[in-house]
Parts: sequence; structure tokens; C-alpha cells
Amino acid sequence: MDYYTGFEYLLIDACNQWGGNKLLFGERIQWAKDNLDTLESLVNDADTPALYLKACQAIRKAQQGIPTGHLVGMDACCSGIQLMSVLTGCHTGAMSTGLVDPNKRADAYKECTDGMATFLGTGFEISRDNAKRALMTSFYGSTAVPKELFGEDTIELDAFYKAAEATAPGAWMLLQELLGSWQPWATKHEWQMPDGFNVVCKVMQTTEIRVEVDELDHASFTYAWEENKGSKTGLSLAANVTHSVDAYIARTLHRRLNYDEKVLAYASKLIEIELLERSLGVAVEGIEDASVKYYVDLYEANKMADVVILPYLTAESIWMVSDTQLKGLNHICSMMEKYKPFELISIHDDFKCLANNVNHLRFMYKEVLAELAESEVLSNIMRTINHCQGTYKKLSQNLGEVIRGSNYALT
Amino acid sequence: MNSSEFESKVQQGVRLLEKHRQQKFFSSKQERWDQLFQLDLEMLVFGIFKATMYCYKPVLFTAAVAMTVNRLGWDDKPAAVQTMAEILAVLCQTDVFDIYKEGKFESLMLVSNAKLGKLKDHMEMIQYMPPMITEPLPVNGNRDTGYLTLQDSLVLGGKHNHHEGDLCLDVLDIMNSVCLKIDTQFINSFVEVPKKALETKEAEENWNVFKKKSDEMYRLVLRTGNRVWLTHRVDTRGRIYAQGYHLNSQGASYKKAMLELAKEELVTGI
Repeated sequence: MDYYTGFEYLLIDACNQWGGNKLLFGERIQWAKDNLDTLESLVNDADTPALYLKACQAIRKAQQGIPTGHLVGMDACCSGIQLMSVLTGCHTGAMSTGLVDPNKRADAYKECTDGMATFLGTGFEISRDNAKRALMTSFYGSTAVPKELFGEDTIELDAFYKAAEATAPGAWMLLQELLGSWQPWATKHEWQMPDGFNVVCKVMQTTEIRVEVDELDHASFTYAWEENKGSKTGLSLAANVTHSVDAYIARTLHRRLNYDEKVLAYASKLIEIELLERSLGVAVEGIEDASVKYYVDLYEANKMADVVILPYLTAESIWMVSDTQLKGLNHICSMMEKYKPFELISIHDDFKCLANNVNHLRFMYKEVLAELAESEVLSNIMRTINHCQGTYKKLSQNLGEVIRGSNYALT
Repeated sequence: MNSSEFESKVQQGVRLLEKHRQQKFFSSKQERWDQLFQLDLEMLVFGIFKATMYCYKPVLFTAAVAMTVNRLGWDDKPAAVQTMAEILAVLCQTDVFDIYKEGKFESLMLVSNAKLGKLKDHMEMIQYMPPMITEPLPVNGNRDTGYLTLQDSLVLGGKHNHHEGDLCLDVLDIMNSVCLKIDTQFINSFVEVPKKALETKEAEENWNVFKKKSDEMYRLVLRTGNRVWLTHRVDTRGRIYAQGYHLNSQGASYKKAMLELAKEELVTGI
């Protein structure tokens, strides 16, 4: 991963808000350096003028040696498709969303329009914004927006679906599987994330009645309300599963980046000692602890080590944790200890922190994605929703290592 | 309206309902009205009048029905809606509120006639909970909000979404503990504007009220030391949302830009 200074992240931030967030990081820095003396004069040309001006003011404070609480934001690259690609081990989708080539600022939306142009030949044009609308919504199961943009039963619509699948085949496959996982007439779909969060998505349906009131000279009105009622089919699982994963990633980042130093130091020591004792064959069993068991069971179901367990670990209960979970936790703790805790703001797939901390935010984000790619989180979600056993067959087993070398997972 | 006038209006309302019930209804309506009279009518009318007082500006009749229908406590929603619409029509004769249509093709509206005086000024001050100016309390249960006095579900989207399962409260504590401040240099140099053009007079009025209330909130925050904490809630999937209307780190660009961490640092690498 390429690292930048705090000041360089301020320059990247200004360029992002101006509208240059599709450039490489180095190019963004250069753009801001080229305009450094006159940045404020460009505020009216910026994509987001308020945030652009704020970034400029932070740059000026930094130049004057004034401390600042300015938050630099980093967005996940095409978040929904990115996460679906990670979960399915799809290198192509990962490539389209910044997780493979460290020297390319990927853009799945542009890739999709380029793909359509290949199928349709010259003369085809669609704006990136429209491509984004079509692609984002279709990966969540909607057919309305692509139809609105490309018409019904047209060669353009056909080309769009072919290009979407080619851009992220793993995500496309997962979309079909999630649509097929809908439980007919169930009043809710539930699953649990590796840190224990209970996702409970009730199936809500709108009922509408026409009411005529004799007492008001037979005036009538329409009354609509939402009811928790099952339906034969539904589209919401694709978005709900993907959003439950992005929410999990956000929680994981808050825990790993804004951690309690005392808790981490204590748990980390315990883990180290326990691993050492096991390697020497002198570890002993202690007492059963319900909280530790809860998180051990979650690990066994998901194969994703999670620091949510740390506050519950004691010298007496750590024996309950398996070797693999302990090794996973040990690895995460050592990454956390390398950097001081810092405050983070998140808006789902958009993360903000002080400029000096962005390197570690980017590092940890891709690390979490790599661990997700190596986990069985998707298997556990699919097993729970579909009330079955088994393992989700991923497209590859080595995506995690590739993700660890990437640069533009957050951009 | 003083309390004795209000009490007499309630009694009048009860009498009007009793009189109305004496009419000959078709059988299903008769059944509904018979069921109605198993309720405490005085309490019901009192509750309806109290609810309609919030309608000091005209509201859609549909909305007024929605505000009051649950007071019947009936599971059969269509029957409850139909009956509440009839009840409101009957109670309209008390003049506590009016039901009217601006024109033949316009929607039915309801407006309260209650003279609220200073109470109306207080009601107009009702607003979304402001951010906290002390660090939020730890959230120990799914109805702890972090506020010192407020209990509410931490799951957004209505009461049907609430559950007592695992909501990962530890992360809400981490997020609630982040202290923010208003960047005064920024708010003095950039005017807050609406996200899109205000095409109607009503939209313009709403924006002006929002802007005025926002400015007042900023002033209050600055006067109390310019340190705020936003509390957070989750949706059913676990996505986390900062709470706040006038100040919110997840709001429009201006709202995002005006907030920064209270804990400042010198930027490295100049």
C-alpha cells in the first residue's frame, strides 16, 4: 500500500471534493499542489463546494502550523459490488472495485459502460451517473432503473446485463442466489454477523383501502399502512445482506481503530501467553464463561476472528478459544498495537478521520476485506437464511492476499 | 379553551356519539359501533381532542385518522380506520376542530379550533433532540439512547423493528464518545443553502424555518462551550445512523463540513 503524509491527505481531500476523486492519489496531490496558491478561487467549480472550502481551510491551517480537527473522508470503491465480490472470492469484481491492481483507480461504473460499448459497437453513449444508477440498483435486484434507462427488451438492456455480469461475475452470481434465497411467506429473514449483531428484516407490505364516510356526505379518502406480512417473492435480501456486511465492516473498523488501550494490552498479553503455553504443552483448562462461549461459537460459524471478544477474555476463560481463533486474534491485536487509537466517523461505507491517521484507516479497511474474503461469513449467512447446512463455494481461495496489496479499496 | 370548557366539549362529544349510535346502520357498521361502545368513550373523546390540538395548521384528514386510529386498539385495521373517520366526522360538530375541503377535487382537511395562546409558541419550539453537550451515558440496553433522560428503541424504523437481540452496543458507545465541535471559521465563510432549488412557497418557508432553527442551534452550541456528542442508532441490518437534525455528521454537505473533531492535531508532512 502506498502511504502519504497528513498534509498530502489534505491535498487529496481538496481534490476529491473538487471532483478529482477518479484520479490516482499521486495525481490528486499534484493537482492540489499545482493550484495550491489559488485553491479558494476554485470553490464555485467544485462538485461539493462546502466540503471543498472546508478542505482548503484545513490546508491553510496546516500551512500555518495551526492544529485542526478537520475530517478527511475516504469512500469505499463501488461498495456494494466490492463487498459482494469479496464474499464470493471474485477476482474480476475485485479488480473492478480497486482491490487488485495497486496502480489503478478502478471504476466499476465506467467498466460497465465500456463493456456495453464493446457489445454495442461505436455510437453508444451513457453518462457515468446513469451507469452508476443502473448498476447499483441492479446489483440489489432492481430491474426498474435499467429498464427506464435502456428500455424494455432492447439490445441496450441486454448489453447492460451482459456488461454488468462481466464487470463483477461473482457479485452477479451472488445476487441471483440471494434473490433465490427469499423464503416464501416468511414474515422475517434473520441472520447473525460474526460480532453477534442480530439482523432481523421483517417483511413489510403496504395495504391500501378506500374509505367512504357517510357522515361526511360520502366523501372518501385512501388510507395506506404497512403490515408485517410475508410475500411469495421479494427483492430486498440482496441489499439487506450487502448492507449488513458493510455495517459489520464499519463496526469492525471502529473497534480496531478507536480501541481501549487497556483492554487491548491486557487481552493481547493473555493471548500471547496462552499461545506460548499451548506450544509448550503446559496450557490448562479454566472455567466456562457464557460470553466467551458466545463469541467462540460465532467464530466457529464464520471463521472470522473478531476483537469484539477481547473485553471478555480472562486468564480463566481463554482456554475456551481455539488455536485458530487465538492466532487470528493475535494477528489483529498486533496490527492494532502498531498504531495509537484514534477517532473515526463513519457513514456506512464512507470513513473519516484526522488526516494524520488516514494511512492506518486505509490499511485496516483492506485488511478487514482480506479477512472477510478468507472467512466463511457468506456461508453462515446463506445457511441461516436458507435453513440448511454447507459451505458457500467461492470462485477463488486466494483473494485475501491480493486485497492486502491493493491501494484503492478506499478512495 | 380552559379546562372546564374542554371538559364540557368532551361531554358534548360523548353525547353526540351516543346519539349517532341510535341511528339505524347496516349490520357491519352496527357491529363496529357496538364494539366502540365497549370502550371508555370519555377517555376516547378526550384523547382524540388532545391529538387534534396538534393540528393547529391544517392537516390531511387521512393524517388525522392515522394520528388517532390506534386509540381504538382494534386489530382489524380497515374497521378501525373506517370507524375513526366516522367518529371524527361526528365529533366535528363540537367545533373543537373543523373538517373541510377547499374545492370539489381537493383533499379532505382537518384543522383544530382550539385557542392555544402561548402553548402554540411552545409547540412550535418542539424539535428533534439536539446533540448532547456532555458525554453520552453508556448504552446498556436496546432502549438506552445515551441521553440522560430519554429512553427509546435503538432500532430505527418504527416499533415493529425493535427487538432485544444483540445490537453490538459496544460500537454505539465508541461512536457516541466522539466529541465534535463546530468549525466557526467555516460557518462564518460559507452560507448554508438548500440542496436543491426551492420550487414552492411552502418549500421556501420550510427551508427558512429550518435555517433559522439551525442557526439558533449553532448559537446555543457555541454558547455552551462548542463541544457536542452525537448519539447513534442502528437500522435492522446494523447500519449506524448519527442522530440529529440541525447538527449531523451524516447530513448534507454543509452539515458534514461544519463539524470536526474537538480533539485537534497538527497535520504532519508540511
